[in-house]
Amino acid sequence: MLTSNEQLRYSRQTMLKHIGENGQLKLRNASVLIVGMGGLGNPVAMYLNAAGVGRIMIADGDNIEITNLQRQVLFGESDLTQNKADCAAEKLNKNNSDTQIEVIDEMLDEELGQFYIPQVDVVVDCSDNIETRYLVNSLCVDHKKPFVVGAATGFDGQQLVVDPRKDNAACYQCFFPISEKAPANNCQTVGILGPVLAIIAGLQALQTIKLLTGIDVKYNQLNVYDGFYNQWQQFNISKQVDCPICQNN
Amino acid sequence: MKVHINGEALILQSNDISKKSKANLTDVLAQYLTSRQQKMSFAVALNSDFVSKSQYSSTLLNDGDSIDVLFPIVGG
Ligand SMILES: [Zn+2]
Repeated sequence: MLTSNEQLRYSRQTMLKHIGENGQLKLRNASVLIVGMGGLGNPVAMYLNAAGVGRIMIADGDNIEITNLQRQVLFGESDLTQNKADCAAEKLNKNNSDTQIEVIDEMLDEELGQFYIPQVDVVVDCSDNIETRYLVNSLCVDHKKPFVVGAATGFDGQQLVVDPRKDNAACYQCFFPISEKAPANNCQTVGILGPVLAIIAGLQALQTIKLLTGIDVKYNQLNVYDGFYNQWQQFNISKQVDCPICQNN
Repeated sequence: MKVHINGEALILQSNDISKKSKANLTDVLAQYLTSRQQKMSFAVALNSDFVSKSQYSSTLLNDGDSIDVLFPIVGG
């Protein structure tokens, strides 16, 4: 049962027939791991925290720099040099005392992933490098945990859901196999506008809430956003028989 | 033959396809991507459906087809 305070606090989302009080209880009992607390991680954490997701683990080993402030909206001038996960947890706690925030003040590696991923219901990828994304993808497939991927640079964003609980679900590596040459661009080299991150992160938070409350989420679909021409495109994929990650799943 | 690749019109050069009746995805990618790009991770969609790498050479194109070459975005 929700407390009367919770009933009031979350009333605008529990009044949705697909959420209801039951959905709110699911959110309260849920745990989520957010990998990366930068431009995507900030809004994802803020929305999941505000929505009352019971346990939110945030992993980031970076410290806040002045060049982050233009897009990492949880952080301000007085937070410079602090660890991102630590600082975010402090702010998120102030916004919602119902939720529990756990800080992992390191970059997620295989060992940390093996420890934390089995404990959560959904993993949200807000990392800024492809190695971490491939690692988390493979761990999520192994542990059959839904994985919400987001990425953005410049005016462009990509978002997809990997749901290894479904037999026919493609993984990130089905879409983008590991290659000889690493992708050329990232936020450091090509720049990024804050609102593009907000759009992709908003979609990631929405997909996460739907996964946690049992609403159907479309997987096997890459959503591509072009913020310059204001266009969305969807691309469909099926699980790849020769994918080294989901072959044995 | 004219196809669209990432929204831009691409006229397929006839010498690439003169031996065959139709161009395939491998022909188009060879014309569109630099050799460096060809070694990078990318995904190809034909009329919004993803095509496996193993199917590129057997996927024949029709006039007016829309091809998207997508590179993974890295950044957050
Ligand atoms: Zn796969």
